[in-house]
Amino acid sequence: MAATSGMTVAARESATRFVFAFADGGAGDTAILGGKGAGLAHMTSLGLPVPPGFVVSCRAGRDYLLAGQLAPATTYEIEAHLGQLETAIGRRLGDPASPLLVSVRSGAPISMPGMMDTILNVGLNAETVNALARETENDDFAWACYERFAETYARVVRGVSPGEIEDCMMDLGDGAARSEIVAALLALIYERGGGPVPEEPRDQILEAVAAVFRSWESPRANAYRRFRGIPDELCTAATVQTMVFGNRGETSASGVAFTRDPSSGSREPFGDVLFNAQGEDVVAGEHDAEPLSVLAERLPLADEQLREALRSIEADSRDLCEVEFTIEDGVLWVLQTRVGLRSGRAAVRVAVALVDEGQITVEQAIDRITPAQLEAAAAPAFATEARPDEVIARGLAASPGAAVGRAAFDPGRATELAAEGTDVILVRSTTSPSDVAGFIAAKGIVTGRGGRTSHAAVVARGMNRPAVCGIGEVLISDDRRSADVAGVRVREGDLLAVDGDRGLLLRGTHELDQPANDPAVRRFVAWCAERAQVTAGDRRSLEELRVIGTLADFQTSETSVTLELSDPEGIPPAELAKALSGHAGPAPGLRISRNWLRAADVRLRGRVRAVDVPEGAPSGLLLRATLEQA
Amino acid sequence: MQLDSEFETLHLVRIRSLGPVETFGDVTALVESGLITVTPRGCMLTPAGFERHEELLVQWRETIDGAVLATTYERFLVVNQPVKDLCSRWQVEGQDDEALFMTVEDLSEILDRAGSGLRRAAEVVPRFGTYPRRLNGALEAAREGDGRFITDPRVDSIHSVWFECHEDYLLSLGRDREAEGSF
Repeated sequence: MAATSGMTVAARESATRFVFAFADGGAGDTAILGGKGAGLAHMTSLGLPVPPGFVVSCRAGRDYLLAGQLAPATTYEIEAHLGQLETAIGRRLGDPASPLLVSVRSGAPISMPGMMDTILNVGLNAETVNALARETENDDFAWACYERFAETYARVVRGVSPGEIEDCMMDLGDGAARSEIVAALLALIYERGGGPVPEEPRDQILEAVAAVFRSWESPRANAYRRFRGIPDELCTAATVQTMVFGNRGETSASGVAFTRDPSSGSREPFGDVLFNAQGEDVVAGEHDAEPLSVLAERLPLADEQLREALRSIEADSRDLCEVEFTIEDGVLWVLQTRVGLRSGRAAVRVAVALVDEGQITVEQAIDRITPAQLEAAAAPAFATEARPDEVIARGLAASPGAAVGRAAFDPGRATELAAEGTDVILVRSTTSPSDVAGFIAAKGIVTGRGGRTSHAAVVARGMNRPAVCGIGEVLISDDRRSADVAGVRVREGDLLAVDGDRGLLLRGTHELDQPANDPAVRRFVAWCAERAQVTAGDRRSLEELRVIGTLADFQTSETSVTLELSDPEGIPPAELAKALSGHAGPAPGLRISRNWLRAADVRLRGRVRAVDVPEGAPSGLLLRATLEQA
Repeated sequence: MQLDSEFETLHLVRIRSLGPVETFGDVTALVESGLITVTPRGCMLTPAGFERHEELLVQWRETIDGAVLATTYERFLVVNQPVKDLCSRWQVEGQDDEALFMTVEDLSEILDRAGSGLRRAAEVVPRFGTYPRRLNGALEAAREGDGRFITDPRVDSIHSVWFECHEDYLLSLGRDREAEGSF
């Protein structure tokens, strides 16, 4: 009793409450809500239109694993929250006219593998599948949802082996109807998965939540915990969330939006939207998505909601963010946000812009840029947006970078031309593995069809070749010496440029720009140089030293970087010379002062990439980098 | 040269084109007859080689149970997008030890699902049996820490093998990648 009376209100609450609506707050409390749940609670607290839902806590999961069944209090609270959800969304579970459907997914306090474990479309049954078909006016879609539900239910909830599921589906033969596939899966679950799938949505949800908790003890989760040294006593939480559909007609859509342009860094929302489609279609980029700007015309209200959401998200994170959204019957829903991936050049530009806007400090800006980003920013790029008359076609920015070269339409010709010393841009309608030799020979790659996750995009990224995919129809002539490229006649040998950051195929007259000419990059480099007076042995300084190393990439005729290492104890010059012999010399224009360290302490690989300062180096050791005008 | 082995060699070169010349079997006769050229990185079909392969492919299709192969291909397509998504995630979102561990775990689960279909395909067309073996080899190499075996096109990576397997299905079933919309 004494212990109980001594507890804080919050602690008493968490001892008796197992389920938390996203709107209950508790953002950031990953120990209770798990990472996914805490994230959704945080987004809700920002006022974002998050599809409503709730989290069954990690503690409830722990109790489940100990007892082997959901505690009555947990079940009771889930039921209560489901009732609130029905009221909030105006749909009821199992309603044969307009059913509420939910997703159930795991969310541990730390990230875990398991993208395949989310159970979608929970609440579908023999009746509600027809309602979904009517509502989306798409029979095939509704049954595909049901198939997906049944397949994950078999595998994740009832533990039917993937092999048995695959065999069951293949035994139906080629071209089986979706409804037959669903019937076969439901029968398989009945026979091999311990009985029928409940028709009652509430029972489906309870089973799914329990399965998410059990997944904590799966061999994969165990292996991951061993790998990361995570204690077994934790458990995952289970998130139950309303499903929203972007394919309920022409006032519905799915999309991905960035708070700023992730290729150029410019301060204008950027992204793709696909009308009457589900989110996975946009992410894969296999369909013809439209630029975000069309929303203002077609769904002005949703456009306004989205702009507002993007502002809140960026104001909160003080960084460029990427947002997955769905518009259902004209109403915006924000599904997921995260700090957005961006090109190296954009990373630097955004960091500098955020400093100018007073959002972050110079120190924070420097900390945000990784050595890899700074290195990427040093690659030549097309600095300016191309003039319209230079653009042959627009496609998807599938692999970053810029390349200029001569057109070739056949992997064999690309290889021959490259062997003669010609820079080649390989243009194909689609790709097959036999094109890969041509990819290796080419400086840049263009494909007519396929998206950001197409084989062509994966191969191009795998070889660091700039690529634009999905530019439209590419008709290659029989002799493979010319082609009709999205309506433009191009001959072998024509000069082309591939802008893999913006997704453009250009006439090759567009000029490449050196990064050191970019004012934002120049300022950033100067900040780094100013700050780089550091003491050795400090972990932070090691990172900084790596950043300094890459500054050598920004050399132009007007600028030079001096790296100076001084050791107060001094090292005899003869020993220094011996120490440095055998190492490759520094980059041209990079001056290194004479007071160098011991051989083992300095690594020079062509250009200075990394200078490792040893633990236990003299404490007065300083590294100073200065940016000078030559 | 036996018709079967001529077809299998031409087919392999059509699908793969990269790799040490030994991996394509004995190509001497086919090089002499002008159907294959040896390149610095592997082998390629000549225009005549393409024509000959097409001709043999059409004949070969008559000899197999296309319906069974088509059924297994449907299951292949179900996991095709998740495999490409995972490959893309790996390339775009960072390649540290933890990302590698996650990618290998997620891929191994999906490839486990794909294995049933490929084994069934191998009962009809034996060369499909090579794909699960090579995929497992790539997975093992990646699991041991060599990240190239996820997507690097220059090694027998998971994506390299998957891409070849996809192409083999398209050619074997006489499907057109563009018409089908699977890129």
